[in-house]
Amino acid sequence: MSAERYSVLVIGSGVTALMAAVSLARRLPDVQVVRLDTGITDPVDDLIGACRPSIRTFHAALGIDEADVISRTRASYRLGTALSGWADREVFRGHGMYGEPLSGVAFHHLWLRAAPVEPYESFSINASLAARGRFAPPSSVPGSPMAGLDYGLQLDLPAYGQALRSLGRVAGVEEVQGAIASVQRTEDGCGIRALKLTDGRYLTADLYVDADGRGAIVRQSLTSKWVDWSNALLVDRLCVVRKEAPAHLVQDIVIASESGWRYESAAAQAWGYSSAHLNGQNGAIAFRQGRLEDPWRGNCIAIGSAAVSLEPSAATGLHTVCRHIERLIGCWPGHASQATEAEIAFYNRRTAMEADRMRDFIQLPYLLNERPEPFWRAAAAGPVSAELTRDLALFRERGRLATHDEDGFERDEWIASLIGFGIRPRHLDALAQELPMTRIQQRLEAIRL
Amino acid sequence: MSSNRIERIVIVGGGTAGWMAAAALSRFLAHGDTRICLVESEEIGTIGVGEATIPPIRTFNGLLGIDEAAFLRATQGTYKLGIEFVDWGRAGQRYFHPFGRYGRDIAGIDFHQLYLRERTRRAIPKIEDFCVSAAAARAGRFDRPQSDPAHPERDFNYAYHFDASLYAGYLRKYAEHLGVQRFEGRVEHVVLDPESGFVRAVDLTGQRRIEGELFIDASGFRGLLIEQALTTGYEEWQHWLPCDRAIAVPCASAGPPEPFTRSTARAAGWQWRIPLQHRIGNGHVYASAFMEDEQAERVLMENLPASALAPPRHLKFVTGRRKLAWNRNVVALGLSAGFVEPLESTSIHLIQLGIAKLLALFPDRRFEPVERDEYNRAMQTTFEAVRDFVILHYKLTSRPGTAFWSYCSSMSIPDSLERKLALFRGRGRNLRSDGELFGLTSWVAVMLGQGVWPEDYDPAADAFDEAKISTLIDNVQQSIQQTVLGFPAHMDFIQRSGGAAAA
Repeated sequence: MSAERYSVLVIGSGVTALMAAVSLARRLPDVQVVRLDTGITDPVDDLIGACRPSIRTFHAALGIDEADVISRTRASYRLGTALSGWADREVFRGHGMYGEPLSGVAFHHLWLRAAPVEPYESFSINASLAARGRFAPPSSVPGSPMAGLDYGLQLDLPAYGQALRSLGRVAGVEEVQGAIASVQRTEDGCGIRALKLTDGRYLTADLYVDADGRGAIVRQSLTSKWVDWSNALLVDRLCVVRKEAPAHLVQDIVIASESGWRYESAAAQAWGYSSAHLNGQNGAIAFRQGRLEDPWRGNCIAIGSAAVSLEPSAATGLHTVCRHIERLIGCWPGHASQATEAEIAFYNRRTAMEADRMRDFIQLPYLLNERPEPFWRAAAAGPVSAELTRDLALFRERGRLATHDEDGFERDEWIASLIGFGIRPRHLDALAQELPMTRIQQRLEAIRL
Repeated sequence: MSSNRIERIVIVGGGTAGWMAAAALSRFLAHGDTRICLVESEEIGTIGVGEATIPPIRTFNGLLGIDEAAFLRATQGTYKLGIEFVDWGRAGQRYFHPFGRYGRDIAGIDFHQLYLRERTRRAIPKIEDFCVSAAAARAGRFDRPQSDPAHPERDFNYAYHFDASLYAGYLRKYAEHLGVQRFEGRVEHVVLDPESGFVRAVDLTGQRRIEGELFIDASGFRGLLIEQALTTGYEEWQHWLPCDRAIAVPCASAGPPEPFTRSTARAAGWQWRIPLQHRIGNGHVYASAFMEDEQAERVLMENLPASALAPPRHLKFVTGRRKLAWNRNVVALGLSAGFVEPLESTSIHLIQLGIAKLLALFPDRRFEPVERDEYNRAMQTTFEAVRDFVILHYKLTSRPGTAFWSYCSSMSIPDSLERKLALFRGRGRNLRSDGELFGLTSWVAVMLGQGVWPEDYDPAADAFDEAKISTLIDNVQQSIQQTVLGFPAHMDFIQRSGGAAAA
């Protein structure tokens, strides 16, 4: 092993930086982790604690006990997101399985063939529990209706951040308080040489992890191109408040309003709108949706919302953080050497694919909304990526889905969104047509909740 | 119900591809009114290069409800645990590409990373000693995998070797039993719709016309419908894979059949050896730009393990893929869709995948382009991924001497492969993309087997205690040795499980 320990400077005060610091310190031996506490927090990153199931993988990798998180940090369980008022009925995008396939034919094909039957949601255990405001853990018994359940967590981020901070101390994360005065680049301009703090101190490291949220300046001091999505995702103002006492909610609810929406979760409440369609509101922050073209450059990498900025309507925030950390550890340079061009290119390519897919998933309900107001009409007419255009065409034809690399969502979530917004394929799947109707009906009967 | 349902499917060509398609379509479109017919001519032989397969063949047979023992009996089949590569990286070097996995992972760290780390500390055996399928292959033994959470290394994968023309015959019986109608005759003329350019019918010798709505082109390299009638176009990959000839010859068995394929590098290509129950299939794949046909035949005949049972057959091919595997109302399957040399036994798999995708995207008479496009996109991705993996074997060589191998080691390779290589060279990393057929074990096997030792290993592997990992590595090796000792000899297993063909 090398004599010099590889040093990492994680920049940021929020949950993103805390998650990154503790993960790197715990999972990578011989890495010296310093976190620069800049004192900057971001209301979106640090108050909206909706997590997809990926948070549980994150906890498992760190050996964090989920029951502990729940009891110590006012966290609760989360089954999915309900979109209310976007169309003439509520649309639920749940985790977990919808129904079960039959003879290799996907469940939604069976449901479409048997139509008209009960709503699609009545075949999802997550949707059924969410509608009743209940939760129970998944069952490992095959065939049990609870076997198809999957869940994420609803974190109260200020409390969660406290827990991560103490965990970080135990894992050896060194904390430095200070504000950045300037970023000094290497002579070729492709890397960072040091950070100068306002009190005159200098910080140096082998790798700089910029986790300082949307306003992050360290990574941005190297050349960077921002891929802007504001034409596709119109919401550019947000106002977030923490709830005094957590509400009993097992799902997030995003309620459409004239020029945006109101967001309700167990721990937080938020309003999002488009400044082009509504005059400024007190307490709202401006934010832009998009991503850095290459979040990792030389010895500096931006993670979380410093790299990919998206609205909270599909709970992608902490999901993104978990995925970025996991991918960074997967590409870890280590052993006092620098990352190779191949590793950096790999990281950037996969991160971009994943972010673009998230943008499409978030944009989908805007494209399919049924509201008359100018904001909603403009959102429905927004530019659509080639991939999403193709996916929509394929689904509209016969209910089929293409496969994608780095799709952070389950196929069932895509299907639930499409069917929830009333898209009915023009034709039935050929193999579903071959199955006898009596068998399909028996199957539906058996699994209806 | 939609009146646009496809009612008549015509399959042109009765080789492995044609009858696989007939069997699968008749099985999954069994309930409706779809009529399936297949046109073939006994005058045209089948090529049947794909006698060795990869594990997904078991899924295909499983979906058709085919019993393994009956299938082996009917096709003179044997089990296959992987491929042994001889003299590829350099002369005298052997390695095994196993169907299965290496050792066991710990806390998300791949075993090969633990192996690479251990190797920096002490001398340890080749990585294949940590894979039960490789160890069983070397011992000439076979048993079915077990899924035992306490011994994850006992869970492996396997495929078959079989006589492709017997397999086609077996599937023919299966398909005909389910109502597929077979027509004997050569296609003389293809009738196109003057407006849409769709194929409407094929005219056979003897003035019989066969009409259809969906056509499967399983006519082989010439692509009777997809190319000769629809001029779809072909993308050639010869600059990356210069082999363009093969000579095939069966020979007598030399002892009991081995449960693996062997591929031996030769001066301008390579030689295959596929052990069946009653004989051994042999072949020499070579580049005509670097070796004359006569010499290639001599190389093959001088390197047979036993006496030849038939005269050698010469085949020509152009490596590449049809630009659109599905064009208008014609879906090309098998050689008409494209060809990558059988180095990794992918021919039958590409057929099977084409069938599965076709069923998943099955059209109706309107033939909406959106499904066709998705099919073509998916097939292109898979073909290219297979191509890259096969190129890797040629690229990673330090064989001295011949012009052919110097060309291969210095040729430029596709960017997609360049990226994979660079990532592996750094810290032994590999990540599978969608549509990619070969997984981590395969890439690790070929990279390490042909001498690409990463500069470093994944630093996350350092998170584990040295002594613990050392013990684990020894335990895995011992457990594998013991497991294999409990396996019966390959041929004994075939006999015991009822798979032996009548002598």
